[in-house]
Amino acid sequence: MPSKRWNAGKLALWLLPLGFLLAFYFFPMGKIVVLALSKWRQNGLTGWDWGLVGRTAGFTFYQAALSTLLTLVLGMPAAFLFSRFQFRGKGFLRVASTLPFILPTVVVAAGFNALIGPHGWLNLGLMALFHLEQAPISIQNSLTAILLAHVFYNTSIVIRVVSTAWEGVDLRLENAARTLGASPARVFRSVTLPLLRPALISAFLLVFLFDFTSFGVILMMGGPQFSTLEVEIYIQTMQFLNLPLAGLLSLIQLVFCMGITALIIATGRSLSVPVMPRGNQENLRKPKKAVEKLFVLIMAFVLIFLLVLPLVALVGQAFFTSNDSGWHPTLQYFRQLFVNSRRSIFYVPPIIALRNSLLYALTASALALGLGMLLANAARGSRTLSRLLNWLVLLPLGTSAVTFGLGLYLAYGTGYGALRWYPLLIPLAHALIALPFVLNLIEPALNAIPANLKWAARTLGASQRVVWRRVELPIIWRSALTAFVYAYAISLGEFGATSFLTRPDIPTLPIAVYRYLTLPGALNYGQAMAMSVVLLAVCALSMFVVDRLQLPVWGDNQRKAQPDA
Amino acid sequence: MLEILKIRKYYENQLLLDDISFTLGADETVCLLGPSGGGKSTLLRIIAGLEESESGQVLWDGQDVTAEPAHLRNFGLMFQDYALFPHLNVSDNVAFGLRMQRLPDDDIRRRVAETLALVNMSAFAKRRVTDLSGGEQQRVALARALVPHPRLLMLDEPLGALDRALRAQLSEDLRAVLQQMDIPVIYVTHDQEEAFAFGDRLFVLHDGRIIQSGSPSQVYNHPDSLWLATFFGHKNRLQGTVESVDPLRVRTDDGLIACGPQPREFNIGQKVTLVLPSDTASLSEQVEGALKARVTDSRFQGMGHLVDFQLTDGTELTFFFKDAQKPGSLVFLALEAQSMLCFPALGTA
Repeated sequence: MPSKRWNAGKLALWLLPLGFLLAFYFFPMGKIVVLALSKWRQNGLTGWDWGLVGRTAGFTFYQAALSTLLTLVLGMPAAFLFSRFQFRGKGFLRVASTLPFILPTVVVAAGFNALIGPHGWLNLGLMALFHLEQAPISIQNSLTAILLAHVFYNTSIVIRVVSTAWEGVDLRLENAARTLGASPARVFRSVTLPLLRPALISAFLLVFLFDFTSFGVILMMGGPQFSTLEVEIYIQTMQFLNLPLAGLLSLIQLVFCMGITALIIATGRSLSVPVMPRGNQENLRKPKKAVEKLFVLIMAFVLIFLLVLPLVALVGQAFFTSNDSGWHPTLQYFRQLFVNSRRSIFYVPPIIALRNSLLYALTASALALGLGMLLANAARGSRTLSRLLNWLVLLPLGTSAVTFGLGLYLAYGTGYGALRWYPLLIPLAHALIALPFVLNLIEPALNAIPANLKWAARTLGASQRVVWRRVELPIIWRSALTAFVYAYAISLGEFGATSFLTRPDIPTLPIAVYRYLTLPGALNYGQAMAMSVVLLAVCALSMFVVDRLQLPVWGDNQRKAQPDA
Repeated sequence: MLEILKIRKYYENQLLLDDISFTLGADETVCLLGPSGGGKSTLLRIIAGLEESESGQVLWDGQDVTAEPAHLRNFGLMFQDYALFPHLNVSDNVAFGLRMQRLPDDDIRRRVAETLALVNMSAFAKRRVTDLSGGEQQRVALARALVPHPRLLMLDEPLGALDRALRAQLSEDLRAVLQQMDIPVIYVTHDQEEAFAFGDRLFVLHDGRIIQSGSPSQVYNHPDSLWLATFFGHKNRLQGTVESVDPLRVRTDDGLIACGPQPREFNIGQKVTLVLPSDTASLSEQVEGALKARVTDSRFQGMGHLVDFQLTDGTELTFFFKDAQKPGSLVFLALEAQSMLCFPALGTA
């Protein structure tokens, strides 16, 4: 059949995404490898601070493992809550638990700061209540703060992945086990848990990868004494200008991330959830027994305290100011965003950062969507070239944001022509980071279109191009729109890669929040809160759009994952 | 005029279509009959240009169209699961092919309306196809395949997804519509009744080959092979040895059985398998030339009763009778010699 043969048009569609990957992924990664190898060639194994490398890698593993376990400890009962119980306020709780996933790290950091930081509501409240001189809760710059933020972030992933699987577990299987004499605990251990295993493994690996590549949280919540591979790459590049060591760390990071991603893909392929597709809400019940009611109440309280209160505190801190006579509403932090203060750390008023971020996000999401569509399209089919592309595209999935940033910085951020390139680098990096999410939504949607539909269109006189435009695109538009919205939200909040590529005259909003958050003074603090609220509002709006249009949600088809910074 | 020449196709290293060749007349309807998974749909897709064959040619009016892209062939294909576009309503689905031909909107509207009227779906023009029942979807799919006036219409199990009652009704409607069209039709089915009802000619596909072709009655009454006889549902078999060839008589453990003329020749002493169609036995008063049998079960089947018998040597046979028979009773079965099918016994052909 001619349509399966390669012609010039098809080859171009295949070469375009390949060219993009070559230029903006493989070339930058090659730069990192060359950098690390050049020092290696000079000094061999000596000349590296292996102690630092070992300590950093060790801590990265340690905090990721601990964070993941804690996230599962909270996420499992939360997934049970959502997949088995029907209760008032569930819709709100579900949206509230989905939101953290796309929130920028700076917003999360600002939110926890607003709640439990030295000037946080909790401390201020306790100080007022017990007439204390100092803040009683001091978890700023501690491992606890890091763990808390990671749990906040990733509980939504566990809930999403595990509760989807749990909802699908056929209740009749559990009932059958009960009639065969199994106690509820035994039913869970012998029936439910084995059925959930694929989802649990999938959630564990995903959360581990996200925690492993955590950057913003460590930098902002952990302070200078904690350093993961991501943070150390940043410090070695930006503070010590030790590019070879940054390169070596990036290589180590790359190897680990690829390994975890390979595991995610391998398990995702081999472990399909062995459950019956059941009617909607068939497995849901209202909590009736006292113990069930108590469980729902406690879980709702914990989730609200952990997932909702930090954001409420953030909004509160942005709109209220305190003095001796108490709290007063104010808009001064927002007004200040439009002022180009002489003492400002940027050359422009902070609101320009918002404009930059919105523009970058628009460019990045359009780029990611276009690239994702081309890749998904070109990687279909069984031809050798398609299979090759399918493998090549997996590599960026296992690359962390900071590694992207460093690679692009090395490849295009210095030397001749760097100046002209610069404004494009950030959206390029964001597009690469968002690409796995885009593919995760587009690929399954495309693959779900029955071949017959395309065949029918072909026999009715439609060329391949027309089939794409008139049949496939109209069918996958919801997924494409979701992909665009996610890419937009990811770009808007991206911090890791951006921190390598940003310049003081073209800051993005997360970079601005970070700078303001690390400066002393109530006005800076307030402005950081105000900017975080703007970011929060845009992200919440994105989720609202996805929810209202009944678009698919990321994680429903969980094939690939890529950490945000 | 369609001509298929030596189409060969492998599927996962197994030979699926083994040098299939046939021709199709100007307004002829041929039925491709065969069990599921036998490559019938693949053959249709190869003819449509949707799939590549390893070798062979598809010719139209003597011109080789094997390399022509599917969308330029103007061969209509109606899919088993209909493949209606879920994002388009009924009339937009039907209009799809006309839009590909870039016809003026007025023409498209008119032809869509005409074709929807032809399949009795005018009232559903603005409905979403996902809201239609199976039978309604089938009509829309037929209208969509017909409206661009294809040079050839291919129907892939068009009634296969419907329940029995609906199938009978839609089968009548489909026949009526196809009779109004002056185009060649290839009708693919695994259901012999459908094949008999629609086909001017029948091609039976088995093991990648066309094992028999001819008019439906010819193929049904004179299946060339034991496999085809079994495929047609003739399950009653007796093993025996040819005792005389003119007239053909076969000695079995249950007596001497007379057969009508057969399409192939036999030799005296040859081991054969007799196939007894289930509507060819009657109760006999005479012992001579009849089979002694015990009724083991009798069950109501709508138009009559299916009765199971056991012969003295243990062979089990099932025949169709108008009246019920009493289980346990001993009877004598007279067999219609004319309907009896005789094949060389397996492994001796």
